[in-house]
Amino acid sequence: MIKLYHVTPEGDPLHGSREAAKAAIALRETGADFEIENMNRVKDMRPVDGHYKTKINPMGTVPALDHDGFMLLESAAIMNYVAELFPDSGLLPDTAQGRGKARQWVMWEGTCYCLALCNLCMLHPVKDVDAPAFEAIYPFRPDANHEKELELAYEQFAHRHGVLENNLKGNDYVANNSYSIGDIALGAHVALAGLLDFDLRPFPNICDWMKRLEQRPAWQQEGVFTGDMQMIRDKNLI
Amino acid sequence: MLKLYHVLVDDDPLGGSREAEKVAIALSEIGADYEIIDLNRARDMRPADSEYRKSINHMATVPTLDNDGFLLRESGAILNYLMELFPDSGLVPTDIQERARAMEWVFWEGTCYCLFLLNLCYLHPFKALDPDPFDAIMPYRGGDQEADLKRAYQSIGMLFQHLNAELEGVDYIANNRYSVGDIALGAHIALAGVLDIDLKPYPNVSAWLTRLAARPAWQKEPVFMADWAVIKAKGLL
Repeated sequence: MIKLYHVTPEGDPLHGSREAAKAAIALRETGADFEIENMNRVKDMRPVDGHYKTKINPMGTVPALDHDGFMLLESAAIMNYVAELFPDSGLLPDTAQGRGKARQWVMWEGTCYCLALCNLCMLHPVKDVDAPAFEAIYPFRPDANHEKELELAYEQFAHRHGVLENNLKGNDYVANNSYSIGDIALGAHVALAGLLDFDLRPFPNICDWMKRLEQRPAWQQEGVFTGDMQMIRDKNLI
Repeated sequence: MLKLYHVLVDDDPLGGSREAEKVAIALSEIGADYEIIDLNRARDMRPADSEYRKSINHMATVPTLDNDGFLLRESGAILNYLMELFPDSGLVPTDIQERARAMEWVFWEGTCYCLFLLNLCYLHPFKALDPDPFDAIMPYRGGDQEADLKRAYQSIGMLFQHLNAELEGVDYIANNRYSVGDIALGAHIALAGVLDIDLKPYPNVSAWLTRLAARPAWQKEPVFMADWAVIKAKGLL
Protein backbone atom coordinates (compact mmCIF):
# COMPACT_ATOMS: atom_id res chain seq x y z
CA MET A 1 0.00 0.00 0.00
CA ILE A 2 1.25 3.47 -0.89
CA LYS A 3 0.47 6.36 1.43
CA LEU A 4 1.30 9.98 0.68
CA TYR A 5 1.56 12.61 3.40
CA HIS A 6 0.17 15.80 1.90
CA VAL A 7 -1.29 19.14 2.91
CA THR A 8 -4.50 19.65 0.94
CA PRO A 9 -5.84 23.19 0.36
CA GLU A 10 -8.80 23.28 2.74
CA GLY A 11 -7.99 25.34 5.80
CA ASP A 12 -4.28 25.64 4.99
CA PRO A 13 -2.94 29.23 5.10
CA LEU A 14 -0.81 28.55 2.01
CA HIS A 15 -3.61 26.66 0.23
CA GLY A 16 -1.85 23.33 0.38
CA SER A 17 1.58 21.97 -0.41
CA ARG A 18 2.89 22.26 -3.98
CA GLU A 19 5.77 19.90 -3.22
CA ALA A 20 3.34 17.21 -2.13
CA ALA A 21 1.08 18.05 -5.08
CA LYS A 22 3.96 17.00 -7.39
CA ALA A 23 4.11 13.56 -5.75
CA ALA A 24 0.31 13.22 -5.84
CA ILE A 25 0.17 14.09 -9.55
CA ALA A 26 2.98 11.64 -10.37
CA LEU A 27 1.21 8.89 -8.43
CA ARG A 28 -2.07 9.58 -10.23
CA GLU A 29 -0.31 9.45 -13.60
CA THR A 30 0.86 5.92 -12.85
CA GLY A 31 -2.64 4.77 -12.00
CA ALA A 32 -1.27 3.38 -8.73
CA ASP A 33 -3.55 2.70 -5.82
CA PHE A 34 -2.62 5.15 -3.09
CA GLU A 35 -4.06 6.93 -0.12
CA ILE A 36 -3.55 10.54 0.97
CA GLU A 37 -2.91 11.37 4.60
CA ASN A 38 -3.78 15.01 5.07
CA MET A 39 -1.55 16.93 7.49
CA ASN A 40 -2.06 20.24 9.24
CA ARG A 41 1.10 22.39 9.19
CA VAL A 42 0.59 23.86 12.62
CA LYS A 43 -0.88 20.94 14.51
CA ASP A 44 0.81 17.95 12.84
CA MET A 45 4.01 19.07 11.13
CA ARG A 46 5.62 21.69 13.38
CA PRO A 47 5.55 20.30 16.92
CA VAL A 48 9.00 18.83 17.61
CA ASP A 49 7.48 16.09 19.75
CA GLY A 50 4.58 15.40 17.35
CA HIS A 51 4.03 12.01 15.75
CA TYR A 52 4.95 13.35 12.32
CA LYS A 53 8.38 14.72 13.27
CA THR A 54 9.29 11.86 15.58
CA LYS A 55 8.01 8.95 13.47
CA ILE A 56 7.55 10.02 9.86
CA ASN A 57 9.79 12.93 8.91
CA PRO A 58 12.22 14.64 11.30
CA MET A 59 12.40 17.63 8.92
CA GLY A 60 8.67 18.23 9.36
CA THR A 61 8.08 18.71 5.65
CA VAL A 62 5.74 17.14 3.12
CA PRO A 63 5.66 15.12 0.99
CA ALA A 64 6.61 11.86 2.66
CA LEU A 65 5.85 8.59 0.91
CA ASP A 66 5.17 5.38 2.78
CA HIS A 67 5.37 2.34 0.54
CA ASP A 68 4.63 -0.67 2.72
CA GLY A 69 6.81 0.80 5.44
CA PHE A 70 9.56 2.14 3.15
CA MET A 71 9.62 5.85 3.94
CA LEU A 72 10.87 8.30 1.33
CA LEU A 73 11.21 12.09 1.54
CA GLU A 74 11.88 14.84 -1.02
CA SER A 75 9.40 15.38 -3.85
CA ALA A 76 12.03 14.88 -6.56
CA ALA A 77 13.22 11.58 -5.06
CA ILE A 78 9.62 10.44 -4.70
CA MET A 79 8.72 11.31 -8.31
CA ASN A 80 11.85 9.54 -9.49
CA TYR A 81 11.03 6.49 -7.37
CA VAL A 82 7.45 6.36 -8.57
CA ALA A 83 8.60 6.68 -12.20
CA GLU A 84 11.05 3.79 -11.71
CA LEU A 85 8.46 1.72 -9.86
CA PHE A 86 6.02 2.10 -12.76
CA PRO A 87 8.21 2.17 -15.86
CA ASP A 88 5.20 1.94 -18.17
CA SER A 89 3.83 5.22 -16.83
CA GLY A 90 6.05 7.12 -19.27
CA LEU A 91 6.98 9.58 -16.50
CA LEU A 92 10.63 9.02 -17.45
CA PRO A 93 11.89 8.37 -20.98
CA ASP A 94 13.39 4.99 -21.83
CA THR A 95 16.85 6.23 -22.76
CA ALA A 96 19.57 7.33 -20.32
CA GLN A 97 19.98 10.63 -22.17
CA GLY A 98 16.24 11.27 -22.17
CA ARG A 99 16.06 10.55 -18.46
CA GLY A 100 19.08 12.79 -17.94
CA LYS A 101 17.29 15.72 -19.58
CA ALA A 102 14.06 15.14 -17.64
CA ARG A 103 15.98 15.07 -14.36
CA GLN A 104 17.97 18.14 -15.40
CA TRP A 105 14.71 20.11 -15.35
CA VAL A 106 13.58 18.53 -12.09
CA MET A 107 16.87 19.67 -10.55
CA TRP A 108 16.74 23.11 -12.14
CA GLU A 109 13.30 23.59 -10.66
CA GLY A 110 14.31 22.36 -7.21
CA THR A 111 17.47 24.43 -7.01
CA CYS A 112 17.54 27.43 -9.34
CA TYR A 113 13.86 28.18 -9.92
CA CYS A 114 12.85 27.47 -6.33
CA LEU A 115 15.43 29.85 -4.94
CA ALA A 116 13.93 32.75 -6.91
CA LEU A 117 10.47 31.55 -5.91
CA CYS A 118 11.38 31.43 -2.21
CA ASN A 119 12.92 34.89 -2.42
CA LEU A 120 9.70 36.24 -3.86
CA CYS A 121 7.53 34.38 -1.35
CA MET A 122 9.57 35.86 1.47
CA LEU A 123 9.00 39.41 0.24
CA HIS A 124 5.47 39.04 -1.11
CA PRO A 125 2.51 39.56 1.22
CA VAL A 126 1.90 35.81 0.88
CA LYS A 127 4.63 35.49 3.48
CA ASP A 128 2.41 37.13 6.09
CA VAL A 129 -0.06 34.30 5.63
CA ASP A 130 2.32 31.81 7.22
CA ALA A 131 5.48 33.52 8.35
CA PRO A 132 7.15 30.62 10.24
CA ALA A 133 7.48 28.55 7.08
CA PHE A 134 9.47 31.28 5.36
CA GLU A 135 11.39 32.41 8.39
CA ALA A 136 12.81 28.93 8.80
CA ILE A 137 14.31 29.28 5.35
CA TYR A 138 15.25 32.95 5.46
CA PRO A 139 16.47 33.81 8.89
CA PHE A 140 16.79 37.48 8.10
CA ARG A 141 14.22 40.14 7.42
CA PRO A 142 14.58 42.51 4.56
CA ASP A 143 13.56 45.62 6.44
CA ALA A 144 15.37 48.11 4.30
CA ASN A 145 14.11 49.08 0.83
CA HIS A 146 11.38 46.51 0.92
CA GLU A 147 9.75 47.82 -2.21
CA LYS A 148 12.95 47.87 -4.21
CA GLU A 149 13.75 44.35 -3.05
CA LEU A 150 10.36 43.04 -4.05
CA GLU A 151 10.89 44.57 -7.46
CA LEU A 152 14.27 42.82 -7.76
CA ALA A 153 12.74 39.54 -6.64
CA TYR A 154 10.15 39.87 -9.42
CA GLU A 155 12.95 40.55 -11.89
CA GLN A 156 14.73 37.37 -10.80
CA PHE A 157 11.50 35.41 -10.98
CA ALA A 158 10.79 36.78 -14.46
CA HIS A 159 14.30 35.80 -15.53
CA ARG A 160 13.61 32.18 -14.52
CA HIS A 161 10.37 32.26 -16.49
CA GLY A 162 12.31 33.59 -19.45
CA VAL A 163 14.54 30.52 -19.29
CA LEU A 164 11.51 28.25 -19.20
CA GLU A 165 9.77 30.20 -21.97
CA ASN A 166 12.77 29.76 -24.28
CA ASN A 167 13.03 26.12 -23.42
CA LEU A 168 9.37 25.56 -24.34
CA LYS A 169 9.75 27.29 -27.70
CA GLY A 170 8.53 24.78 -30.27
CA ASN A 171 8.13 22.13 -27.58
CA ASP A 172 5.00 20.84 -25.88
CA TYR A 173 6.91 19.69 -22.80
CA VAL A 174 10.06 20.77 -20.95
CA ALA A 175 12.30 17.79 -21.71
CA ASN A 176 12.63 15.74 -24.90
CA ASN A 177 9.30 17.24 -26.03
CA SER A 178 7.69 14.45 -24.08
CA TYR A 179 5.68 14.64 -20.85
CA SER A 180 7.76 13.68 -17.79
CA ILE A 181 8.45 14.36 -14.13
CA GLY A 182 10.18 17.55 -15.34
CA ASP A 183 6.77 18.97 -16.29
CA ILE A 184 5.27 17.93 -12.97
CA ALA A 185 8.09 19.50 -10.94
CA LEU A 186 7.79 22.80 -12.81
CA GLY A 187 4.04 22.99 -13.43
CA ALA A 188 3.11 22.58 -9.78
CA HIS A 189 5.23 25.61 -8.84
CA VAL A 190 4.57 27.79 -11.89
CA ALA A 191 0.89 27.61 -10.90
CA LEU A 192 1.80 29.72 -7.85
CA ALA A 193 1.70 32.69 -10.24
CA GLY A 194 -1.85 33.36 -9.04
CA LEU A 195 -1.00 33.61 -5.37
CA LEU A 196 2.12 35.65 -6.17
CA ASP A 197 0.42 38.03 -8.65
CA PHE A 198 2.86 37.11 -11.36
CA ASP A 199 1.54 37.75 -14.87
CA LEU A 200 2.13 34.76 -17.14
CA ARG A 201 0.81 36.47 -20.29
CA PRO A 202 4.22 37.78 -21.39
CA PHE A 203 5.24 34.10 -21.58
CA PRO A 204 2.90 32.60 -24.18
CA ASN A 205 4.74 29.26 -24.41
CA ILE A 206 4.40 28.83 -20.66
CA CYS A 207 0.69 29.70 -20.85
CA ASP A 208 0.09 27.09 -23.57
CA TRP A 209 2.07 24.49 -21.67
CA MET A 210 0.15 25.14 -18.44
CA LYS A 211 -3.14 24.75 -20.32
CA ARG A 212 -1.80 21.48 -21.72
CA LEU A 213 -1.02 20.20 -18.21
CA GLU A 214 -4.41 21.40 -17.02
CA GLN A 215 -6.11 19.03 -19.43
CA ARG A 216 -4.61 15.97 -17.86
CA PRO A 217 -6.90 14.10 -15.45
CA ALA A 218 -4.06 13.61 -12.97
CA TRP A 219 -3.75 17.40 -12.65
CA GLN A 220 -7.51 17.98 -12.59
CA GLN A 221 -7.75 15.68 -9.59
CA GLU A 222 -5.17 17.65 -7.61
CA GLY A 223 -6.93 20.25 -5.45
CA VAL A 224 -3.80 22.32 -4.80
CA PHE A 225 -3.24 22.75 -8.53
CA THR A 226 -6.87 23.43 -9.48
CA GLY A 227 -7.07 26.01 -6.68
CA ASP A 228 -3.95 27.74 -7.99
CA MET A 229 -5.23 27.71 -11.57
CA GLN A 230 -8.53 29.17 -10.42
CA MET A 231 -6.67 32.06 -8.83
CA ILE A 232 -4.60 32.58 -11.99
CA ARG A 233 -7.83 32.86 -13.98
CA ASP A 234 -9.60 35.02 -11.41
CA LYS A 235 -6.70 37.46 -11.56
CA ASN A 236 -6.56 37.19 -15.33
CA LEU A 237 -2.87 36.25 -15.41
CA ILE A 238 -2.97 33.64 -18.17
CA MET B 1 34.66 11.05 -24.68
CA LEU B 2 33.43 12.57 -21.41
CA LYS B 3 34.27 16.23 -20.86
CA LEU B 4 33.52 18.07 -17.65
CA TYR B 5 33.32 21.87 -17.50
CA HIS B 6 34.62 22.85 -14.08
CA VAL B 7 36.05 25.84 -12.21
CA LEU B 8 39.23 24.81 -10.45
CA VAL B 9 40.75 26.52 -7.40
CA ASP B 10 43.56 28.55 -8.96
CA ASP B 11 42.73 32.29 -8.94
CA ASP B 12 39.00 31.66 -8.53
CA PRO B 13 37.65 34.10 -5.91
CA LEU B 14 35.34 31.43 -4.48
CA GLY B 15 37.98 28.70 -4.46
CA GLY B 16 36.48 26.71 -7.31
CA SER B 17 33.07 25.18 -7.99
CA ARG B 18 31.72 22.72 -5.44
CA GLU B 19 28.88 21.72 -7.76
CA ALA B 20 31.34 20.70 -10.48
CA GLU B 21 33.53 19.10 -7.80
CA LYS B 22 30.72 16.61 -7.10
CA VAL B 23 30.77 15.40 -10.69
CA ALA B 24 34.57 15.27 -10.83
CA ILE B 25 34.64 13.08 -7.71
CA ALA B 26 31.96 10.77 -9.14
CA LEU B 27 33.92 10.45 -12.40
CA SER B 28 37.09 9.56 -10.47
CA GLU B 29 35.21 7.01 -8.37
CA ILE B 30 33.87 5.40 -11.51
CA GLY B 31 37.32 5.31 -13.05
CA ALA B 32 35.91 6.80 -16.23
CA ASP B 33 38.15 8.33 -18.83
CA TYR B 34 37.37 12.04 -18.79
CA GLU B 35 38.85 15.42 -19.40
CA ILE B 36 38.37 18.59 -17.35
CA ILE B 37 37.91 21.95 -19.03
CA ASP B 38 38.85 24.58 -16.47
CA LEU B 39 36.77 27.76 -16.87
CA ASN B 40 37.22 31.24 -15.47
CA ARG B 41 34.00 32.71 -14.01
CA ALA B 42 34.67 36.28 -15.11
CA ARG B 43 36.13 35.61 -18.54
CA ASP B 44 34.40 32.44 -19.73
CA MET B 45 31.13 32.13 -17.86
CA ARG B 46 29.67 35.59 -17.27
CA PRO B 47 29.96 37.45 -20.59
CA ALA B 48 26.63 37.08 -22.37
CA ASP B 49 28.41 36.50 -25.69
CA SER B 50 31.02 34.03 -24.40
CA GLU B 51 31.57 30.80 -26.27
CA TYR B 52 30.56 28.84 -23.18
CA ARG B 53 27.20 30.60 -22.91
CA LYS B 54 26.51 30.44 -26.61
CA SER B 55 27.41 26.82 -27.33
CA ILE B 56 27.67 24.88 -24.09
CA ASN B 57 25.49 26.22 -21.30
CA HIS B 58 23.30 29.29 -21.74
CA MET B 59 22.65 29.30 -17.96
CA ALA B 60 26.38 29.98 -17.53
CA THR B 61 26.75 27.59 -14.63
CA VAL B 62 29.06 24.67 -14.02
CA PRO B 63 29.08 21.74 -14.14
CA THR B 64 28.19 20.83 -17.69
CA LEU B 65 28.91 17.31 -18.85
CA ASP B 66 29.61 16.68 -22.52
CA ASN B 67 29.29 13.04 -23.53
CA ASP B 68 30.15 12.92 -27.22
CA GLY B 69 28.04 16.01 -27.85
CA PHE B 70 25.22 15.20 -25.44
CA LEU B 71 25.24 18.17 -23.03
CA LEU B 72 23.81 17.88 -19.54
CA ARG B 73 23.54 20.50 -16.77
CA GLU B 74 22.70 20.31 -13.04
CA SER B 75 25.03 18.32 -10.81
CA GLY B 76 22.17 16.19 -9.42
CA ALA B 77 21.02 15.18 -12.89
CA ILE B 78 24.60 14.49 -14.00
CA LEU B 79 25.25 12.27 -10.97
CA ASN B 80 22.10 10.33 -11.76
CA TYR B 81 23.06 10.06 -15.44
CA LEU B 82 26.55 8.78 -14.59
CA MET B 83 25.04 6.17 -12.29
CA GLU B 84 22.98 4.92 -15.20
CA LEU B 85 25.86 5.07 -17.62
CA PHE B 86 28.14 3.07 -15.31
CA PRO B 87 25.84 0.70 -13.44
CA ASP B 88 28.76 -1.35 -12.16
CA SER B 89 30.49 1.62 -10.52
CA GLY B 90 29.06 0.75 -7.10
CA LEU B 91 27.99 4.37 -6.67
CA VAL B 92 24.42 3.35 -7.14
CA PRO B 93 22.57 0.59 -5.37
CA THR B 94 20.81 -1.84 -7.69
CA ASP B 95 17.82 -2.14 -5.38
CA ILE B 96 15.18 0.43 -6.33
CA GLN B 97 14.49 1.49 -2.75
CA GLU B 98 18.15 1.81 -1.84
CA ARG B 99 18.68 3.86 -4.99
CA ALA B 100 15.76 6.10 -4.01
CA ARG B 101 17.31 6.58 -0.56
CA ALA B 102 20.61 7.70 -2.12
CA MET B 103 18.76 10.11 -4.42
CA GLU B 104 16.72 11.41 -1.49
CA TRP B 105 19.97 12.78 -0.03
CA VAL B 106 21.11 14.21 -3.34
CA PHE B 107 17.85 16.13 -3.52
CA TRP B 108 17.82 17.12 0.14
CA GLU B 109 21.27 18.58 -0.33
CA GLY B 110 20.34 20.39 -3.54
CA THR B 111 17.09 21.90 -2.33
CA CYS B 112 16.97 22.17 1.46
CA TYR B 113 20.60 22.30 2.59
CA CYS B 114 21.71 24.52 -0.29
CA LEU B 115 19.07 27.12 0.48
CA PHE B 116 20.38 27.54 4.02
CA LEU B 117 23.95 27.39 2.77
CA LEU B 118 23.35 30.20 0.28
CA ASN B 119 21.75 32.34 2.98
CA LEU B 120 24.87 31.97 5.03
CA CYS B 121 27.16 32.58 2.05
CA TYR B 122 25.24 35.74 1.32
CA LEU B 123 25.74 37.12 4.81
CA HIS B 124 29.21 35.77 5.52
CA PRO B 125 32.23 37.87 4.54
CA PHE B 126 32.84 35.08 2.00
CA LYS B 127 30.37 36.90 -0.20
CA ALA B 128 32.63 39.92 -0.37
CA LEU B 129 35.11 37.83 -2.37
CA ASP B 130 32.80 37.66 -5.34
CA PRO B 131 29.46 39.39 -4.85
CA ASP B 132 28.16 38.67 -8.36
CA PRO B 133 26.85 35.14 -7.96
CA PHE B 134 25.23 35.94 -4.63
CA ASP B 135 23.60 39.14 -5.83
CA ALA B 136 22.13 37.17 -8.69
CA ILE B 137 20.63 34.67 -6.27
CA MET B 138 19.61 36.90 -3.39
CA PRO B 139 18.54 40.24 -4.74
CA TYR B 140 17.90 41.84 -1.37
CA ARG B 141 19.96 42.71 1.65
CA GLY B 142 19.04 42.24 5.28
CA GLY B 143 18.82 45.17 7.69
CA ASP B 144 20.80 44.17 10.78
CA GLN B 145 23.53 42.12 9.13
CA GLU B 146 25.09 40.91 12.36
CA ALA B 147 21.83 39.60 13.81
CA ASP B 148 20.97 38.08 10.45
CA LEU B 149 24.30 36.28 10.23
CA LYS B 150 23.76 34.89 13.71
CA ARG B 151 20.35 33.56 12.72
CA ALA B 152 21.74 32.10 9.49
CA TYR B 153 24.25 30.14 11.61
CA GLN B 154 21.45 28.96 13.90
CA SER B 155 19.36 27.82 10.95
CA ILE B 156 22.14 25.89 9.24
CA GLY B 157 23.05 24.47 12.66
CA MET B 158 19.64 22.76 12.69
CA LEU B 159 20.54 21.00 9.47
CA PHE B 160 23.95 19.92 10.76
CA GLN B 161 22.17 18.53 13.81
CA HIS B 162 19.79 16.62 11.57
CA LEU B 163 22.67 15.25 9.54
CA ASN B 164 24.56 14.32 12.68
CA ALA B 165 21.53 12.36 13.92
CA GLU B 166 21.16 10.62 10.55
CA LEU B 167 24.84 9.59 10.63
CA GLU B 168 24.55 8.09 14.12
CA GLY B 169 25.89 4.55 14.02
CA VAL B 170 26.47 4.51 10.26
CA ASP B 171 29.46 5.18 8.03
CA TYR B 172 27.58 6.63 5.05
CA ILE B 173 24.43 8.68 4.64
CA ALA B 174 22.22 6.34 2.60
CA ASN B 175 21.83 2.60 3.29
CA ASN B 176 25.12 2.78 5.23
CA ARG B 177 26.84 2.42 1.88
CA TYR B 178 28.97 4.93 0.01
CA SER B 179 26.94 6.54 -2.80
CA VAL B 180 26.20 9.69 -4.77
CA GLY B 181 24.38 10.90 -1.65
CA ASP B 182 27.72 11.19 0.16
CA ILE B 183 29.31 12.92 -2.81
CA ALA B 184 26.53 15.53 -3.10
CA LEU B 185 26.63 16.28 0.61
CA GLY B 186 30.35 16.03 1.29
CA ALA B 187 31.33 18.56 -1.36
CA HIS B 188 29.19 21.25 0.26
CA ILE B 189 29.71 20.26 3.89
CA ALA B 190 33.42 20.85 3.24
CA LEU B 191 32.58 24.56 2.87
CA ALA B 192 32.44 24.57 6.68
CA GLY B 193 36.05 25.74 6.69
CA VAL B 194 35.55 28.77 4.50
CA LEU B 195 32.29 29.60 6.33
CA ASP B 196 33.69 29.07 9.84
CA ILE B 197 31.20 26.38 10.85
CA ASP B 198 32.62 24.41 13.73
CA LEU B 199 32.06 20.70 13.11
CA LYS B 200 33.08 19.61 16.61
CA PRO B 201 29.51 19.75 17.95
CA TYR B 202 28.60 17.28 15.17
CA PRO B 203 31.03 14.38 15.75
CA ASN B 204 29.27 12.01 13.33
CA VAL B 205 29.51 14.60 10.55
CA SER B 206 33.15 15.15 11.39
CA ALA B 207 33.98 11.43 11.31
CA TRP B 208 32.05 10.95 8.07
CA LEU B 209 33.81 13.83 6.31
CA THR B 210 37.16 12.44 7.49
CA ARG B 211 36.12 9.10 5.97
CA LEU B 212 35.38 10.77 2.63
CA ALA B 213 38.65 12.70 2.74
CA ALA B 214 40.51 9.39 2.96
CA ARG B 215 39.22 8.27 -0.45
CA PRO B 216 41.61 8.70 -3.40
CA ALA B 217 38.84 10.21 -5.59
CA TRP B 218 38.38 13.01 -3.04
CA GLN B 219 42.12 13.49 -2.61
CA LYS B 220 42.43 13.98 -6.36
CA GLU B 221 39.88 16.81 -6.35
CA PRO B 222 41.67 20.13 -5.78
CA VAL B 223 38.53 22.07 -4.79
CA PHE B 224 37.79 19.59 -2.02
CA MET B 225 41.41 19.41 -0.87
CA ALA B 226 41.58 23.21 -0.57
CA ASP B 227 38.38 23.25 1.53
CA TRP B 228 39.63 20.34 3.60
CA ALA B 229 42.90 22.17 4.31
CA VAL B 230 40.98 25.21 5.59
CA ILE B 231 38.87 23.01 7.91
CA LYS B 232 42.00 21.47 9.36
CA ALA B 233 43.91 24.76 9.58
CA LYS B 234 41.04 26.37 11.52
CA GLY B 235 40.74 23.33 13.80
CA LEU B 236 37.05 22.81 13.05
CA LEU B 237 36.97 19.00 12.98
